[in-house]
Amino acid sequence: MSRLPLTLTASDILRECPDCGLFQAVPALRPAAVARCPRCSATLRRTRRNPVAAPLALATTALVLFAIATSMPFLDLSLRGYGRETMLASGPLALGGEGMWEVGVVVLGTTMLAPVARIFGMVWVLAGMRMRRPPRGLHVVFRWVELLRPWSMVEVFLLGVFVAYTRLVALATVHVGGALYALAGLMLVMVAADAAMDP
Amino acid sequence: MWEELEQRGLTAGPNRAGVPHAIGCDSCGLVSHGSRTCPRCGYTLRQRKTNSLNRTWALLLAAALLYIPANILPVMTVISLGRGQPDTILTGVEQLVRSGLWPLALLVFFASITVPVLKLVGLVTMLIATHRGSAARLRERTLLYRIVDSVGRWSMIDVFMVSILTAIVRMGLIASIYPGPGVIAFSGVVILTMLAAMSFDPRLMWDAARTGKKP
Ligand SMILES: [Zn+2]
Ligand SMILES: [Zn+2]
Repeated sequence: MSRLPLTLTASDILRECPDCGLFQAVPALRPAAVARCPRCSATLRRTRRNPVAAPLALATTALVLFAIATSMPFLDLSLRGYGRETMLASGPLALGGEGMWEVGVVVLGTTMLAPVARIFGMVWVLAGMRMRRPPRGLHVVFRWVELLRPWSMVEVFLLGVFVAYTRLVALATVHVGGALYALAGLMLVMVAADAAMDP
Repeated sequence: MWEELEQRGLTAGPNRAGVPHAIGCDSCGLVSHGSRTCPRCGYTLRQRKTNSLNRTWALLLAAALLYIPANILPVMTVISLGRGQPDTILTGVEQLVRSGLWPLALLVFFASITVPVLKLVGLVTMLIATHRGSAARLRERTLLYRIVDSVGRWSMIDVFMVSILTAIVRMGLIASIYPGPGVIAFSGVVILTMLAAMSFDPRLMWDAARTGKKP
């Protein structure tokens, strides 16, 4: 495949560019540096100042916020004496109730199951690495954390909430519950945790 | 992260970074040779994503077919004071424009209409260029791939909106919102195009350009 004249020193790492397939030696980086592919400028390697402690703190926070987001009221509506409260899980349940279980499953998976699985996975791997005798199979868990990344859509969901909210306020009085604030915090913490823990 | 795991001895390091027949792991990036699975993360090693072009074509075709009902059928029906009004993706954007919410209307238009089209057209362009062995604009096409791959999830905004409205607006004839069949087709389009982008291997464009023929 590759005919590159490579001379590797001990600290160099051989990498295949994920986007263009170029093999290249990436030198060891000082903390908080990025190596990019010279041919297509894909990110090849990134180092962080605090590769374990910072994302562990963020992921633990995310776990707490997720618990709040699922247990507190999400949005309340009141109109001419009628009132209705919803939770985070009410959307997928309502879709299922209308015979649209496929869409319900998609919404449940992308807004609740994938995020919570990723957060648990992160905490497990990062906490495991700090133990004196780390549990086995951490690498398998971490691979799943990465595989689930595109399917965890908390930030997209929040925009959907915003659009829904603007249509609701034209209709009735809407009260924003604690779950929504927790979810907004969760989004920020997840973005920060992902950024602090690049593979 | 993978280097952190390796330094702690929690997973194997490189066996020998030999250059001939070396394969880079799609999951963790380790380059190794001579084994079927990655010595560091255990992922199946392959030179390029399996059957990439055929899979991408099949997923795109299915997405393109679903794209039509996704835009024609209503994604939800709004019942207000006994009268029902069906809403498609496009009339949803219209509603936002009429309420004077221009920035939001633009955002939803971009996420629900521009992004799916961009994904379909972009991936078809990349596939055709790969089949023709084109060497033109490789850097731009690789950048386009990265954009298509990362922006796709944002199209779910409308699906989430329908989900929330269905759950909360249920007051019988006074005000109710029911999901429409369009939302099934639309979420199908989003998921199929996401899978299509994942199964396309941008490295094939570079391979095809180097050999000048179909890989
Ligand atoms: Zn590259
Ligand atoms: Zn690997």
